[in-house]
Amino acid sequence: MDTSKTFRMINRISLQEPSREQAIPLRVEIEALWDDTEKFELDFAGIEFISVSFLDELVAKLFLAYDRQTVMRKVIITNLANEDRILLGNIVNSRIRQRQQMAQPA
Amino acid sequence: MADVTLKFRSNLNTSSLPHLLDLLHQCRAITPGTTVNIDLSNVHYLFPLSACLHWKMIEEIVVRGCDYHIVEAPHSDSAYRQIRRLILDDPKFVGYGKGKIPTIGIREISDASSNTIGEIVELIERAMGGISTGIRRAVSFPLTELLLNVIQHSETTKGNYVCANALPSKRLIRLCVLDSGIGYLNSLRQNPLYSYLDDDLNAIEKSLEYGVSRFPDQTRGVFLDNLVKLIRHNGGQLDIISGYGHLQIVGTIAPKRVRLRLPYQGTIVSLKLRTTKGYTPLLEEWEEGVESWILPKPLG
Repeated sequence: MDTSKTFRMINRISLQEPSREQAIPLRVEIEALWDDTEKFELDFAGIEFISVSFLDELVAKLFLAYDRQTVMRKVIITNLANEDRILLGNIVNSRIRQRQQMAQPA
Repeated sequence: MADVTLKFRSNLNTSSLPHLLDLLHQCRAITPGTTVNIDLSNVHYLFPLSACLHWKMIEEIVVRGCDYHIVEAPHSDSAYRQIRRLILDDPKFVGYGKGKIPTIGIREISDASSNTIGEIVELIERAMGGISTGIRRAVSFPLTELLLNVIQHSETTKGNYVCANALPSKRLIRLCVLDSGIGYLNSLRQNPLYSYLDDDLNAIEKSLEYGVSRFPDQTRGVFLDNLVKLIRHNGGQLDIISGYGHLQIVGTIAPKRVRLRLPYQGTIVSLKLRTTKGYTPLLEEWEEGVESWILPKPLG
């Protein structure tokens, strides 16, 4: 396996409504390619305003589905402002904790 | 048909909410054909929240086929000019400059596009004479999400407004997003987990928790949790009004719960942000490995 795939957001989403719903097909696509792809680059060049819901749905939810080491090894975020990265970090933290809670026996 | 007079108090900040709701309810009780005198003669300052409610009142008056007259202030001060400009049907009006209260005129919410967000943020930036990237994000992050919420979840396309103003001398930005939709309680009750809720105030408070939304799984509901963190860090103020509930968060102080005598049918979210602080240190503690992954270059 030596593949990488780049998702350029500017070509994939409508700036008319940068919502959670727009992120769902992208994440579904990533998950479908997950096992056969080594690296995913999520390129936010040209996107000035992005919603926290979009970032949650596209990126943070990967941390619910997969262990954090795998996600951090496979996924690279590029051209996202530091302020948005910190916001994303916040929701990634929450999703990691949620995954840990889900893994605990009831 | 006898005239009706709606007399506005001089101070129209958040604490005047019961007064404004009383006036709004008076508008809804007006008989068609009545002439309404909107007495603004005492008003010295119009906040985005009061501006949005004022606009809502005019909408209610017009929809009942009533005429209205504005009773103007006897003096031509900045607040008076602000009010006059706000009631003009100019969705892109910006009044700023020496001697004027810099206000971004009320816009009807029709989309949550990057263009709309960008225009509002740019106008705030111009009114402030420039803002940091952190403050741009502190404004655009809630604005984007609040407008999306109105478009996607309020279940109405009419009577939704956004208004903002910027006070460079006080280093303050205020935003208000008002919708005429189903409100927090009705929205949350769509989720079977929260169908037990029967109180607006409890519904607002519940919605601030991480993962709480009208959807049955914990896969949404991340915005308000993050907004509260922003407000706490920024030392700003968040007011959420829906139905009979009004929840207010000021900086790190415990939320203040107010039960309103008269309801607002829909939702109003009002924000006060200090430009002296952004939202950068939102994180309390990084989970292992996340910081170096998300921030490959250290913050400057």
